[in-house]
Amino acid sequence: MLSFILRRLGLAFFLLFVISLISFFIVTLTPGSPYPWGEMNPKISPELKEAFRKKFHLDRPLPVQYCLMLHDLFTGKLRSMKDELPVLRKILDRLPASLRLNITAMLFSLSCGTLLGIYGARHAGHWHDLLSSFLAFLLIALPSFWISYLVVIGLVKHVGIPILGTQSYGIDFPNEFSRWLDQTWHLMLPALILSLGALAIQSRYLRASMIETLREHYILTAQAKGLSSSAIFYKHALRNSLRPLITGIGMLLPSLISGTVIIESIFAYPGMGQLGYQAVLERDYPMLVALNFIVAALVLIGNFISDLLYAVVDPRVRLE
Amino acid sequence: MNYIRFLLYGISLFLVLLFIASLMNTASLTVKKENEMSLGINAEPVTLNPIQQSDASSALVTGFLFNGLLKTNENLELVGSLASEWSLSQITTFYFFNSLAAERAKVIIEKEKIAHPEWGIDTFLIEHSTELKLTLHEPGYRLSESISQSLPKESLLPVQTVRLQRDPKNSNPSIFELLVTTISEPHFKEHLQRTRRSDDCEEWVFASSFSLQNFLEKNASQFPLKITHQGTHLFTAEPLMHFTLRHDVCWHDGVPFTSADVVFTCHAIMDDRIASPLRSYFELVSKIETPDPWHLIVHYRHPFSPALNSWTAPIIPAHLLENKDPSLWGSSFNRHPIGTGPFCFEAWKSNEYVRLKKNNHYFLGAPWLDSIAFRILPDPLTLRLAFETHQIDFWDAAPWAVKGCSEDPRFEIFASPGNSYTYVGWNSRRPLFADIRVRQALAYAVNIPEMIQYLLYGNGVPSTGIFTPRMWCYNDSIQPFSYNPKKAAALLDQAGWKVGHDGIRTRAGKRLSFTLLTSNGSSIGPDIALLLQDKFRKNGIEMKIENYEWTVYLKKLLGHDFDAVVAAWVLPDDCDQYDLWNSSQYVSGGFNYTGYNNPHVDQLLQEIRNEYRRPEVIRLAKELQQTIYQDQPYLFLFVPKHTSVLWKGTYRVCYPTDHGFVDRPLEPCKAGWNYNMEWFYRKDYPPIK
Repeated sequence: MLSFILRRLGLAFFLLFVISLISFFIVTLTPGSPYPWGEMNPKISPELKEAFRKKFHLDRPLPVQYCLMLHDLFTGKLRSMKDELPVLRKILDRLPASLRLNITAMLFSLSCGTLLGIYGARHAGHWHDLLSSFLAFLLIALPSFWISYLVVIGLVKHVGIPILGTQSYGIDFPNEFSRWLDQTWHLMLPALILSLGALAIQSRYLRASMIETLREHYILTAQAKGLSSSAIFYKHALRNSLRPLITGIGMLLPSLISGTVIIESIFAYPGMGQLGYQAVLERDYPMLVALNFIVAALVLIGNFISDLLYAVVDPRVRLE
Repeated sequence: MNYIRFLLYGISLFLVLLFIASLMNTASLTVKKENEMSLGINAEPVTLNPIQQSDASSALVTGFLFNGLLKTNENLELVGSLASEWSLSQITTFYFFNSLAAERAKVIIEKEKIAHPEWGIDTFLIEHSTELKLTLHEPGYRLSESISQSLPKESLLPVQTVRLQRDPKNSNPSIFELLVTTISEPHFKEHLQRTRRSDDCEEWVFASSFSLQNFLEKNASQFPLKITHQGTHLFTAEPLMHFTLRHDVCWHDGVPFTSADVVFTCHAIMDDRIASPLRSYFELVSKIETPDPWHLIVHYRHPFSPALNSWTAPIIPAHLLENKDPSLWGSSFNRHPIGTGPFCFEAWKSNEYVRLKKNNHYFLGAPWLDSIAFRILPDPLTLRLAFETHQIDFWDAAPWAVKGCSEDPRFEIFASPGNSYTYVGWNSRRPLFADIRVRQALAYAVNIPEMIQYLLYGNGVPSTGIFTPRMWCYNDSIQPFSYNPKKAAALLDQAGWKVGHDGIRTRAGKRLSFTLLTSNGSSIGPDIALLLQDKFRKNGIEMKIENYEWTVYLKKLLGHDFDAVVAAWVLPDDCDQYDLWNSSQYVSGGFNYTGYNNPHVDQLLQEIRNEYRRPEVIRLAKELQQTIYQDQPYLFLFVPKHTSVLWKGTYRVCYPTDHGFVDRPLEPCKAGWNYNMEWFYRKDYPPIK
């Protein structure tokens, strides 16, 4: 087990290095310029452009730039080209909100998705199953921005309940619990909408893998032993059908950054998605490199966690 | 009971209960009514440091926090803000071969001064025995030139201005120093003024008949330098600006505002480590004198009237920023600014809102509003919803939404032509577009009012040239090329383009066909292209369309690799358009990328830069606009209107003037209906005077 972990860690560091190298070159070789004042401004003199390039080491050769950027990244000195705030601070500013949103969404999709999947598998072939399948496909097919707009228009315009931002604006809260509940409310809808797609997909995976498990001989044995159907479903069948879900968990971490741009923008929710999106539009190289690095690290951590979980659920998997 | 089942149902139930509880909690909360103005912005401000910002959101916020020495009034004229008084003058210096010639010239001036009161000579004296220095009332070259005509030309030393560029790769950094010590010409060193523009570039002004160009050509191996700009005059003209600052201004932290802050701001703008976008105009400042904390004299290197506008630049506090590393401003001052403006900074919650509160010690009196909130709402639909539910007070309507809003009795609408225009640029270095008849024919072939109707739902006005109607130098007497296919056909016939067998015109075997470049960065560019294609086709002109990604489009544009291009200019409020139209700007990366070349226009552009008298500038600018419009280097399309929507009767404005406060409803003016927004008040919180 220990040697497996060490081996994986070593590989992960090597991979991170390669990924950072590739992402640096992709980012800096993309057409377009990082100047904050745009390319078509006659009032910007060549001398000013030169000063800007010097300030961010853009006048140095690319390999030197890469080393400087990595050095700054690890010493925490890497600054965004846009507002000169340290990139780590900018990321940490938004990480808590993003984490809250994504963890809530994950809870929704894991709990409701699993329940929906079990429900489908349990009633396989019955109209209950058809209904749950229809629901799942509907959720997969409906674009999340459309649902978001409907929800925002319905609630804000017709009911008059604030949902934009992380908490209601311009309110003196009677107590801290009320503030916490209000913040939770602002989190619930975006998280729910964010989870819908994943929820539906999870339920489909689980349903399929569970139907397969239910055909196994040991289920027949369990039934023959006279176990109650819920014991069979939740203890024997579910545990053996969890592998696709675990793969899903591994992929959830990186979606912290990538998957939330549209929903964050509609709900005016200050998360990491907007940060990355803006950085791409503005060619903010340091920000992009830092974000890419963090996403890569998250993917690797996610994979690592799901590998460990495999061993926990499936005794046949041995991490040697 | 097994635990997985318990967990699954438990979490789901918990989430559902939390959902309901939080919904009920939020529904029970009531928004506190406050004397606050809320504005929606679609992007988070980048920085609240006004000398570093270049985005609209930051500019909107810092407008309430900072003041410049000058500001523009409702008619976009310059008036004092932090400066209570300001005036202009000029020092003109003539250089002579010897002291005798200088003395003789002084006697001439003494005599001629009485005969020519229009010269406006204040003082004149001899310095360094060979320089004759005159102080004039009015800056510019005009008066100095007429003075120079009464002086004996043969005893005057020519004044040369050169810009030297060093090859950054293979020469030593002290090469400029070395060059100065090597040249042993008489008069060269004694009158030399050097200005460093960057590490690789210096500007020299020297009074001598010595030819630097020849010297460099002879010693090219020793001095690998290039002269990129050269000019010769008979004198040096250094405009001066005198400011008297207000005595009653304090920073938000209570420290008095003085001339030291202005000096610091200028130095900060020129600092390489700050890379301020305001830099171009301050490059011309040679020195700033501060005789006392409330007086400033700014010296310019040479006349350049658009630089006056640079004094509307916000002033930042020296006592907080001096001797602090600018790379650290990002996380300190730029997030918690201290200014002199009507509002103080209160809070900035990343990507949610920025809040300002009123400055009770504002030098023009405290504003009526208690606070201003800038809500950051990136999505256009969300922004609109926030407006409709009173979460923000103003909304900039998209063209398609204007009609609906103007029919709604609950709303008030302010619409005026904005400060941008959309055009099609013809590459006049291509033979087809070199012919003015073809360019004019293309202008007659397009129905612009119809295009405005289709694309902007009527929210625009036809463009009649390089200025937009809101600008003070706009020429409103220009007759636009109105839609007239017959005239277009006649002009094309005249130019030798006859209709061929397939309906496309040909001349000498060549079809009248070209390619239009558009960018997917613009939402209406491709639509414009389609409408044009249709109209041109009907006139026997074949136009192909190529749509590119923004960066590729820019590269083709600035590299002159196109026939025609759809683009737009967003203009500042001054009328200096030298960079866009002077023939010298047809270089790779220059902004005269259509290759327009008209010597008369070149001269007008230079005269506008030299002229300080506003009526004269307006006259020149109108002539400039007329000349360029007749030449049709662009097919000028339209100026989109900017439409703001607000709830009827929410706000009035009560602002200070020289004759006390004026209280009136909001109304449009040249500078926009919202130019004195800091003096808005809510009707339910009337001002207490």
